[in-house]
Amino acid sequence: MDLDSMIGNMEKWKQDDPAKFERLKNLLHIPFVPPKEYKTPTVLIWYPPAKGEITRNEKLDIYAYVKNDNPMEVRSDLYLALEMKGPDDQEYARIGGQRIILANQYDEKTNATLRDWSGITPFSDSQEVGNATFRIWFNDMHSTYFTDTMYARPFQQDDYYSVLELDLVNSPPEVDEESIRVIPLRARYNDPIRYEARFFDTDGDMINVILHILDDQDREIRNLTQTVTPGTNVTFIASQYGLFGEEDAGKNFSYFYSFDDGLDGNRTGINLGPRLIPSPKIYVSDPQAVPADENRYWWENYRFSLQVKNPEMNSLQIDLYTSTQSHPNRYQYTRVINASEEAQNVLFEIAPFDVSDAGHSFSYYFRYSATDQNSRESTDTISGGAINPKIVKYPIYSTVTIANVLAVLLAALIGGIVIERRFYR
Amino acid sequence: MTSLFLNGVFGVSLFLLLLAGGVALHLLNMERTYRRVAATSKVKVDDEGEPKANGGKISKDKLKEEIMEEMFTRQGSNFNAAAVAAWMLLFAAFAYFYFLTPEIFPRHNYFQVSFLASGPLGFAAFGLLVLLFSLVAAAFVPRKIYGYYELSKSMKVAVMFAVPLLAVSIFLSVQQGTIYPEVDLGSRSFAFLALFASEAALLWPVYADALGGMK
Repeated sequence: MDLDSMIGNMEKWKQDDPAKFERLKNLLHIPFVPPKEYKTPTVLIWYPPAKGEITRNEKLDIYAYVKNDNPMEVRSDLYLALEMKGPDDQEYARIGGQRIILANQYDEKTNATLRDWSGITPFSDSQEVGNATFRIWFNDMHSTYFTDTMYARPFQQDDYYSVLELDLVNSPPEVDEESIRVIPLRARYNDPIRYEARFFDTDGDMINVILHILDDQDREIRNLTQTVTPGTNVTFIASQYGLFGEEDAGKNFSYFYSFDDGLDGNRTGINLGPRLIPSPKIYVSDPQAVPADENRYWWENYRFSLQVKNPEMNSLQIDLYTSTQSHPNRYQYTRVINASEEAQNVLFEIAPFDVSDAGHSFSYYFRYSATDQNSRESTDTISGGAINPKIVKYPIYSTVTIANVLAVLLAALIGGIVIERRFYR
Repeated sequence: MTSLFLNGVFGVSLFLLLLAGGVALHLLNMERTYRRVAATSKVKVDDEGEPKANGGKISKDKLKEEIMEEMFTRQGSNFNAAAVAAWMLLFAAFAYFYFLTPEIFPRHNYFQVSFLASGPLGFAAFGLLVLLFSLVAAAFVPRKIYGYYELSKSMKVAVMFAVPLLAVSIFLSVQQGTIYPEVDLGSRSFAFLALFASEAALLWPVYADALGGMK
């Protein structure tokens, strides 16, 4: 039987009868017996940052320092593993992979070598802060050792440790108060309302953000959660979550955020918004202002009108306001109309100006006691044009003007006569 | 020339200057007359006008009062009534000319009181208000002035003629108001001339006496 046939048979036996194969293996096994002069290698943790506090996302660079003073022919392979007991752990657990040092991999002069576990983040899922302990497990083919128990007393010199203890700390997340907003603050229920805010975490932890939506009694009606990267905007779009429905039109809401990084949390104050615009009750159109006289004198009547379709509201109040330089936002008159299926032409036939408005332009708007199709309770301000600069209504030859002048002249003459009789005699 | 009629600061200053000049000259005229009368009477006065007679028992004010009483000449009733009316109308015409329309003083005029100016009786109310304010001055100025001057017939005619002249000025100023923002320069100028001619006529006796005194 040549060697190839034997290997082939061995593989076949291993598959066909694993129990017998295992027995054969034990029979053929010759245990390694260390020579009398064999010395257990020295294994220590080398932690060059020498920094006692770490955060969950901080990357750790931990090394195993191994010194094997045995001569080459006595050395055996060395298997190493890094173990950690976190703040919330009862037992040590391995982190990172196993490392192997072959007999010929030591420095010829110092008989030492290093194995590293670089860039590991063993606490990324930790739910507690506190002490974390590291040790190295190793096996030199003779025995298994743990660096925390193999020495008579804990060793620590410079950056070398038999047991490494680190303090896991955490900075709570923070919110940028200026960034908290709801856009738009006043909106229709089906508008793309967005809640926005920006959160930070100096440790770089992911942040769980919960948006709490409150009704006008400050009772929580919904909450939504997002996990965000620190420093980025968190955005909740109301329509995506179906936050508001038609029945919410006209209501005022408020909100606040609670947020945490898994370890520490906080919450914002209550912010107002959104204020949902009531659903339209009326439809308005065609606002007009027509002067009674084409000369547009201040003393003339003006005919203001507005087309209003008001199918459901009784006693709908419509106010007319005018604005001039002398009288900004001057209330003029109110009309009240009742519900009707037909569009109604609401008329205001009034003389809205006085002499101080002469020569100025005017504008006007209507205000109403219901929400219109634009979700507003007033029309835009509409320019009405210029008012004629003439200031006196009556011509010089009119009875009124002549009577005015005569009244003054007569008063002076009568005054002269009365004073002469009373004081000059 | 037109801009002169429409220059508010010039017009008001001129009006007040003529009035102030009249008051000052009247006081000088009275003082000069007192000295002349005192010089020709038994009562001697020193350089300061203090009487020396009766051992100095009579005061200057008392003496002056007595002399002025002696000098006072009653003018006719018609003249006095016309003079009082003319002085009242002088202030009214002045107010109508400068403070009726926004043309001369855009920020200080009758139309700033919109509730008054917007009504049909606004012009009358404005004029009557001015008459009321000028009542005290207009009532006593003629008595305090014209009673101490020897008024020629032409002077009396001039003072009495001021009444219709001022009525014309008021009427033309009101006409300016009714056509504002247009301006009728002809009537504006005439109203201005009528106003200041009337003021000159009313103060003529004082100025004339002062001129005579200087001679």
